[in-house]
Amino acid sequence: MYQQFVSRADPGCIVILLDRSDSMKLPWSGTGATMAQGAALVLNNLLLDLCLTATKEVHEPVRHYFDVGVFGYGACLNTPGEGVESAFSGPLAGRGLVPLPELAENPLAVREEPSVDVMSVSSKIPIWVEPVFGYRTPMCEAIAVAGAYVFDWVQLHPDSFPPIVINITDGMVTDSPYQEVALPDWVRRLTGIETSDGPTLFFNVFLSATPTSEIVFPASPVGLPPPGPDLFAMTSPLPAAMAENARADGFDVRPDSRGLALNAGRSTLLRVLQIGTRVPDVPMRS
Amino acid sequence: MVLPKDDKQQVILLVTLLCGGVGSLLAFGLYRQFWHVGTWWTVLALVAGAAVGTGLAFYVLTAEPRQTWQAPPSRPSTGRPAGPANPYGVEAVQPPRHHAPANHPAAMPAQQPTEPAKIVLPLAGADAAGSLPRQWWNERPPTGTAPPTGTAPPGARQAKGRDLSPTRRTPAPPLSSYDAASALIAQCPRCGDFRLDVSTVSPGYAFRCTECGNRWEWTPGTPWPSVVVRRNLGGRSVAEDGGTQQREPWR
Repeated sequence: MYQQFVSRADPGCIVILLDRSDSMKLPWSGTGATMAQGAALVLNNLLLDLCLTATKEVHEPVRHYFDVGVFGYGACLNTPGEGVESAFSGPLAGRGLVPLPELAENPLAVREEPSVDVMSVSSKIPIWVEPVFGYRTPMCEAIAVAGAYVFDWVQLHPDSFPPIVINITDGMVTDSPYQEVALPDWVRRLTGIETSDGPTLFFNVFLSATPTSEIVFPASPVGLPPPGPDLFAMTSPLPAAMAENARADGFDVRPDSRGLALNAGRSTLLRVLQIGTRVPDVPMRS
Repeated sequence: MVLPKDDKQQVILLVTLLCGGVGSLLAFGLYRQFWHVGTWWTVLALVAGAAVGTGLAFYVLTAEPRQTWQAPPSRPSTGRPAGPANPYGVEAVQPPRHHAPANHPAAMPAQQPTEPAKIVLPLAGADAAGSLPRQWWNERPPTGTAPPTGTAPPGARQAKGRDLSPTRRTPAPPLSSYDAASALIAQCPRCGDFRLDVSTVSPGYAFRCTECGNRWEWTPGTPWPSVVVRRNLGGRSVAEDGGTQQREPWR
């Protein structure tokens, strides 16, 4: 399981579920910005990383190694109100899964943004996702909507590395049960979608507005602060290759560690996303 | 007491006319007390005062109440109960605020919650009606797909059939005697789960659902018990809470 390399013949799929509820307006401890702004900044950095990683030759287009989707839940832009929609803005507004080359060619803008690690340093990066917050937290609906794309994607790529779905949230789900099905069962439905290389991976990153110690890739729910145990139960274990990457990145990863981060700061969020979206670490094939 | 709309208007009209008449007589008395004018002027003032008073009173009584903003109710299409049944819906509904450029749709006044919160699915992968997402979990993959494995959750369909259990590695039995028309996928009639223990009892089979503990028997040729899927999938067992409660993901 989880051995498949990413290539243009068998691309990967990365889906980010981004909490855009009203609570994301709270300041992210130590950053001077809201959690919505911080999460958008990190996401744009992650997307840029993916584009750079998929650029193998100078002046050559980005290779189609991934199909990427970012779905915001909470406040919506395209149709104002509460709901779930693609979080892409600009030319990609309303798009679900977007091939990486198309993503690279269609940012909303290129802006000067602060560094994720050091606030005093800034650099110009492309922007695909804007910070948005409002309304409640329809997390179940987000899984239902994203699941349709994941399902269709797996039909087209039955032998690819399984889809990776990363949920970034700061609070309580407000739509469980959704269609009479509770959140854990929505997650089971999502992770029930499989390729020949394994089930869909579902990772969670919980953000906290208050300064609290970070817990990254725990191996047991025991001792986790709320909502850690419940999130732990819904989170997929880290595949061996990702666990190896996490160890190389300095994290204490054990055999049963799951793709969960609690009270993640901004730089930790980026590192977790990078680890969670890094498939078997071998040179990408053509 | 609730009167029909027509009757209510008649009552209002009668009360208004009565009040107008009493007010006119009172005004007439005061008028005669302080001024001494001709009869025609007195009648004219009486009629004009009664008409103005009646009109004002009728307007005040029949005017629609002023519209006030109310918090949007829970999204009705989700079927989610409000109030205590959904203790996690405690985040206040706030107007969306966006950090977006001035020319971005986010900065437009249409963002204000002028209508109740609703499900918005402007995505190609969702159904065209935009009311509910496509039920992909009930769809079957088009071709080359194995049936749901024993570990699949209720309702889940595996896009690419791949049983990860150890039994997957055993050679598949020959299918020459397989009669698809008479095959039946056993499903718990109580919770809808497919993870069942089965044993042979004359003349049929005995089943036990590993998810909810339900036991039942079935004889080939008889109808399969009707499946009534209840909530609480994956939560506490039905035996514990009677099938009425559900474990919430977190607080």
